[in-house]
Amino acid sequence: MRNMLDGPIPGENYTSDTKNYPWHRPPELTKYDDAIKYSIEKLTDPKAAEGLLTFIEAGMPIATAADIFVTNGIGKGKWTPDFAILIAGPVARMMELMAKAAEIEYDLGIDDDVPVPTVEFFKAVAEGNIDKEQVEDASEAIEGSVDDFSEEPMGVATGGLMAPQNEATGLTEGVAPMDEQDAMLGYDPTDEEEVLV
Amino acid sequence: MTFEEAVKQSIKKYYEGIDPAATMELLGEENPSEYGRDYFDSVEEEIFGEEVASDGEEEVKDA
Repeated sequence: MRNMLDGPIPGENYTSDTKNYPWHRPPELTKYDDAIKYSIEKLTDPKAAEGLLTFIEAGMPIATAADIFVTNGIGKGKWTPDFAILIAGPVARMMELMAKAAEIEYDLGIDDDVPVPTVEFFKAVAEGNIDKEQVEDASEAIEGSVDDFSEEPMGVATGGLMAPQNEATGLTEGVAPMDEQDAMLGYDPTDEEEVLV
Repeated sequence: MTFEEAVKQSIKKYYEGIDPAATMELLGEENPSEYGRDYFDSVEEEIFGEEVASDGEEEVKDA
């Protein structure tokens, strides 16, 4: 049974170090090209490539693999969540090229109906059902065309998903309509009606 | 919209040849990305020796 007195006391959050986790600190990569370069280097690492291609061959959609990769980057403090969304496209394209180079059938997974992982999927992953030579060939072919990566000094990202839109984007500035805000907060007006009844 | 959905949407738009406004702001008009669609198309061409559409209207394989 959980001891209720083990919980944090009010205001305890002000006493902890706010830089305990990588995502608490400014992101390491704030330049688009640097982030893509870093992603290419990471993905073409033979060990990483083998794991990635195993999952793709087993039926994991590339969109899901890209999601895992960019989310991992957030956890490591490499980029912000906004930035992760911006680089998801090129990362997925990179993964697609690797799958093509390894002659693996793949699913981009950008359709609305995402297949649910099956028993066959997990069996293939457990067995590591993939040719290692294919992985190495794919990795080398792509890595050969990438320049050496040098990390830039740390900085703070500007702009982002939550930044207000300007006229150039064609989107209106200001506050979103109430129904849109309610939807973003997960508020459903029918819930309240049900309570009242 | 969840983060997963946003990532999926971003990938979908990328394959449709549409770049997010934030990416444009990040790069600036004078500094196009070194790793744009052309780069990946050229890598693909280098690997397979085949011509690929460079305007992002590549055939999308999706089951």
